[in-house]
This record gives sequence, structure tokens and C-alpha cells, in this order.
Amino acid sequence: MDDMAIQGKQDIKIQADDVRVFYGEKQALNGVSIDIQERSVTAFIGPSGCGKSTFLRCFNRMNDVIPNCRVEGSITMGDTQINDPQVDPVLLRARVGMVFQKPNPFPKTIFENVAYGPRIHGLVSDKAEMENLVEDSLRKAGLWKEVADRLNDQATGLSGGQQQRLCIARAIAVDPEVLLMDEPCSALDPIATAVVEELIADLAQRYTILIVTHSMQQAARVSQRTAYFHLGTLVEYGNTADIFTRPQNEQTEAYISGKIG
Amino acid sequence: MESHSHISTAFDRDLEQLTAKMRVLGETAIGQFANALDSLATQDQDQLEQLIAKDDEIDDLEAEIHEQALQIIALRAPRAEDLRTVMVMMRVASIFERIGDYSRNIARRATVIASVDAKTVPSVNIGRTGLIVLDMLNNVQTAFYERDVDLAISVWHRDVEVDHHHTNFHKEILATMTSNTSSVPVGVHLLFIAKNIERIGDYATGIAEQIHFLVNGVVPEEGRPKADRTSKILGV
Repeated sequence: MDDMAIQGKQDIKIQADDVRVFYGEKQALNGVSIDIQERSVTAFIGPSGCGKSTFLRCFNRMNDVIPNCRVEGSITMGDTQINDPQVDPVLLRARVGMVFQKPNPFPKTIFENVAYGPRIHGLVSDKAEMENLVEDSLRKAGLWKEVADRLNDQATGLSGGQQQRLCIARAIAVDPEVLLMDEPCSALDPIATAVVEELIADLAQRYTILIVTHSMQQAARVSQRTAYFHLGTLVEYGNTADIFTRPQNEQTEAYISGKIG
Repeated sequence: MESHSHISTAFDRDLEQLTAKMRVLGETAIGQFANALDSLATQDQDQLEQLIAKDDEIDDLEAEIHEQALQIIALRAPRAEDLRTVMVMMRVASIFERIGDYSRNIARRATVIASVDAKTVPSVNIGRTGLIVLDMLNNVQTAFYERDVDLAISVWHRDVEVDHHHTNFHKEILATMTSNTSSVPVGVHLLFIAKNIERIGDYATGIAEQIHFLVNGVVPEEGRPKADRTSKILGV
């Protein structure tokens, strides 16, 4: 497809233009251009090694921490050029939060897990404000009712699904604009997965969400738009309903239908 | 794309079984219509009775296809062309079931016509329209299994021809009934038979649209050509 832009009423939150990623000499992403719609869920799908997680990490400069990794091209979010060396990655990651495959709460209390980000970013001025922010974040993450009476318990004592929602609460406590999710449910059971998926739909009303998933059913369930990657190339990008009913590209068709190419 | 197999061989097997059953249903329904047309000419009572009884087979096949399609959707979560295939099979199965019903209705009326004095039967050629519709059905059946959109679209355009024939036949039978009132009881049956044949032509057109959707993901863009004017005819 020549034009990967999606026509829609919503505003564009992020524009990626000709993004190329190299691990040493090896090129992992071949000039990806894509417009990400604000306050919606965009799913990145594709077989292992297709570059979808590499691309996701471009949006909050997580590739910076990988030795020999080089990112070229432009990613624009509002007035910010994400790849600009002048941009402080720590501040950027407050605006573009991330939730990982395995829940990774800090070995601290539930309260401290959520309070940590706002504290280091100086977002609150007193204890009462911090308590309000922690409660608000836990409510937005759909966890408040389950942990309200044990905020001082260790976070590691929570179930896997609760820990993942705590990580989401931790990400949204610093008031981000974008949430990146890298297979956020792959370590969860089906019920915890359903709860997190419901939460993603709710969060999309406030945040722009990009999700990498190996589960095509999950992409179909949670996203409004889907991008299919293969061998480092963006093959097809479109409305999720179209991608799953009438994909335009044969490679997309074969992948989502579970066919041998 | 069809040459690619699924990683899940059970999924391939399910789709093959569904397709095989669809083929039997299509052949049976088309066979019923061909026999109904034939029996209009031969007035063979045994053939008519067999035809009426066979409609149950078609109903059972449609139910089995719907059940299998439901299971594929539930267990295999088909997507893209697979999803369209299952959806189209369900729709087309229902269309063939209706074609079976109309063929049975034609046979029932033919049974009545066969029992009356031949002198009261209007001398009109209803089989001509029937043979066009039969040709359309055979072509959509071929187009369906060969994913031949061009053939399907050619059937789609022939619906106008059927409508013209039907309108002319309607006028013809009306003229006969007006000039010879003793032909009215049989003439009314013939009008219904003609309408049934015209509706089966519509169903062939509907299957052609489903083939277009199956292959291209969308139904034909232009509106379906129509030329049936019988609803506007008051007299001769």
C-alpha cells in the first residue's frame, strides 16, 4: 500500500515517517510510515521477528538502552520530535508510558508503586494530593476496589492480573498521553486477560494506546486499527474490522487466516 | 490464496466438509427445480410426488450446513476470506433452501394442473423462462466453486432477461384468462408458477452477489438491474 494514512474524524496523535531501525549492521525495520490516531487503540501484529516490538519501543526511545541499536527517520508527537537528541528520554517516558509482557511491580508496597513516578517527576506537593492521585490512578486502572484496604501490602503479593493493572496504574499516575503495551496479557489467564482488555477499552477514552500482541483475537477485540508487519516492513494498516474481514494484501490474509505462505 | 493450506489441518478438513455438503445441497436444489420444470411438461404424477417428498432432504441439508458453520465460527475463529466463506455458505444454503421450497410449490401446482381437463389449460410456454433460470442456477453453481466472478456477474445481468420474459408471460396469461374465463382456475396457478420461477431467478442473482462478496469482500457496486413490471399491470 502506498498510503498508510487512515482517513478518519479523529486527530492524529503521532506521525511516524520512514522509521528505520538497525541492530549493528542488521536492519530490523525498513522505513515505516504510519499515522496514529489520538484516543484510540492501534494494534501491531505479525510473526515473531517482524519488527513490531522494535517499532513500539521507538515511541518512547526504549531502543536507546539496547547496545548498537540505531533509529533513523522521524516520529512526531505534537511539537516533539521523539528522536531529537535534545529530548530527555526520562521526561518522554512520562508522556509515553509503557506496560510490559510480564507484570514488573517494584518490590515495594502497592501505594509506593503508584506514588513513585509522580514523586520523582514532582507532580504532587503534599501527602493528601499524593493519596488522591494514587487512588485516582488505581481507580482508572480498575484496581481500587480490590486493593483499597491493603495499600501498604507488598505489590508482589497481588495476582498476576492485579500486578499488571498495578503497572498500568503506575504508568497512568504520571499523566501520560500515550500508553505502549507490549503483549500485556501474554502472562495472564483468560479471565485476567478479559479484565485488562476491558480496561484498555476504557483507557482509550483518555489515552492513545499502542499494543503489540501475538493474539489476533485480542487485536480484533481491543483495537480500532491494526498494522500488520512482516520482515521489518509495514505490510498493511487499516481499520481493524476491515483487516479481519477483507484484508487487501495476500501476506496479511495468509497470516491472519493461519495459512502456510 | 486458496492453494494455501491452514496450519491447522482440522480447519482445512472442516471447510472441505462444509464445501462438500454445500455442493450436495446446491445440486439437489437445482435438480428439484429442473424436475419441477420437466414435470410441468410431462405431468408425471410419480415424479411430482417424489419431488414434493424430497424437499425435506433440502431442509435437513440446510440445517446441517448451518450447524457446521456455527461450529467453525465457534471453534476455528475464521478470519478474512475464511470468514467470508463461512458467512456466504450460510447465506447461500438458505437461498438454496428457498429455491427448494419454490420448486416444491411449482410441483404442487403442477399436480393440480395435471388433474384438470387439458382444454382449460392456457396454451402458453412457461418453460422458456424456466430454462433461462435453470441455466443461471447452473452457472452460479459453477462460479461458486471456481470463484469465477465474471461468470457470476454475467448471471447477475441476466436477471433483467428473466424479468422481461416474466412480464410478457404475465400479459399473455392475463389475455388468455380475459378471453376465455374457463382458463382462469388454471391460469391463476400458472401465474403463481411464473412468479415462483421469476423469484428463483432473483435467488440466482442473489447467489451471484454472494460470489462477488466472497471473492472481493464487497457486493457489486451498481444496483441490481430490475425489469419486472408485473406489479404495474392492471389489465390487457
